[in-house]
Amino acid sequence: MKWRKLILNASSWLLDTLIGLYVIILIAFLVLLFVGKLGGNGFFSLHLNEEFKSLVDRPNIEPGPGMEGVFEVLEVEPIEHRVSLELNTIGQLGVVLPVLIYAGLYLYTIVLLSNIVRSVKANSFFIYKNVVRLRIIGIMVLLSQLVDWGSSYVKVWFFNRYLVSTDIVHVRSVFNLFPNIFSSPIIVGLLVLIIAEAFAHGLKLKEEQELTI
Amino acid sequence: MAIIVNLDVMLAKRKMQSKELAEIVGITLANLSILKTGKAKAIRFSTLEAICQALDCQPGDILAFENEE
Repeated sequence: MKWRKLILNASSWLLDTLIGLYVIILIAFLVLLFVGKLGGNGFFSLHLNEEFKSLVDRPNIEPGPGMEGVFEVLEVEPIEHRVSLELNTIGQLGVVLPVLIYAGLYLYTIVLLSNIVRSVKANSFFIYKNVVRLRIIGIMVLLSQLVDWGSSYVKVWFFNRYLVSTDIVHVRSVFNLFPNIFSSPIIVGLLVLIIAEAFAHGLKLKEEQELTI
Repeated sequence: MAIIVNLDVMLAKRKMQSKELAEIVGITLANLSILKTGKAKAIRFSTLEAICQALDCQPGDILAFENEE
């Protein structure tokens, strides 16, 4: 019981602090955006495919002092290029607007998580609101993965549509087909949705129990 | 719901008040109200038995099935 209270209080404090920090960062970002101090730069990374790795200058990396006999650096492969762009106002809006929407959804998800912890602290875990909150969180986590995939496609599309390179003639987005099961948003999102359904079922059983005379 | 609870009718026939029945059966007035309004999801055999005893009737006098189609 003591541990349960400790974990709940720690989670609640952590989430509330995170929400506070996030709101401050978001407000600072908006203020800087309107003042115009944010600068008009945008950037994205491009993964190099096999054909072009050989074209890029390779940095010289050697074992540190005393490590010469332990290992040898056989090869260094550049895999990414960072493309920085100076954007005009419309271009900035195009970058800032999706970021703001994403940030808002992120904040909303943390608030939902905080509300769940609060409800647990108040001993009212099995309520329909928590089922809805868990479902929304699950969908948000799944959406975050879709946004990641989408952004990698947009990068490639943007590069092919608006930029010209004589060195890089082909770019592709990278998909990780075997993601880490513990950190993959797809797995985590599905898990949260399954837990939400378990909650919904538990809630139904509780309601039936309460309405059995 | 397809199962209709005719507790009101039986109470009227026996000229008994809800409060009195709740006391005899040993359930709260709130739970009896849930039963009367048809909001209950299930009824225990022990409750049904107590109600039948108190109202001197059969389960069929309290519960009825109505085809929703």
